[in-house]
Amino acid sequence: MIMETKETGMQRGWMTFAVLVVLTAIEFAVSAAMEEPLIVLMLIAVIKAGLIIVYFMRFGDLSVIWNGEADE
Amino acid sequence: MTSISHHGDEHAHGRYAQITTNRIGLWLFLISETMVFAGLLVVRFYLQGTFRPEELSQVLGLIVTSILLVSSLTMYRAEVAISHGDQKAFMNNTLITLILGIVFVAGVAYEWSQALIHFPPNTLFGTVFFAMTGMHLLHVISGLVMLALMYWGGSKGKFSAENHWTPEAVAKYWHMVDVVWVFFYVALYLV
Repeated sequence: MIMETKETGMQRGWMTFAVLVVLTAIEFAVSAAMEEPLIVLMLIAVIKAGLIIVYFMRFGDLSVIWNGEADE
Repeated sequence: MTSISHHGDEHAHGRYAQITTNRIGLWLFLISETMVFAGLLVVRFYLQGTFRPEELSQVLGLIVTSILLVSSLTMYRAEVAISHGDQKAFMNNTLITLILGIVFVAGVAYEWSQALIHFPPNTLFGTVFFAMTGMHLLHVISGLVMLALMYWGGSKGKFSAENHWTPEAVAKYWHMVDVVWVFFYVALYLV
């Protein structure tokens, strides 16, 4: 894990959360507006899941597997 | 002096290698868990297509989804806080996550009380609905138990900037539960 300040980490959390809220609102609107919204909704869900995995779960911490060395 | 420093480096390297192994193991566990939920997602569309009963409240679905999203933020903040040695923010955010998780469970319990009336488990949609939300709820409750244990450990000062593998692991598990719900929310409430 690349070391970052607490403030930077917290800020990243808020930014990610804000995007997730916006995407959830879009999902709700799409569901109401479209007749067959499944594909669009699933695409948005994939983006939301990706954001959680990359930013909240810090998937990048596993970079040692493909980089082969510690970055901490 | 050099020898002490050398041993210190070795100790730090060993610890980092252990954490890396832990992380790989945890990710493999989380991926295998996700397969179970992916199976349920496929079953939902195989058995019922995009059918959704009118009685299923989209508003309640949005509320419980929002609660889980906020809990993911507070969980993340707790992890960041302890990784920088901020005990107070760690404890506060862990407690908020715990409370939000309990509210989520209460929300789903209310949803179940309505579901039992309109589409009980012996109907096709009821089977799908209770299987999906039930399996997810089981994981939320497991997460809550881990959060409670972590909160108890935190109150004893067991975690610090140098020793926060437990909060990291619990946080990743909690976020996995959130990722699963992102798809279940769409499959159950929005299609």
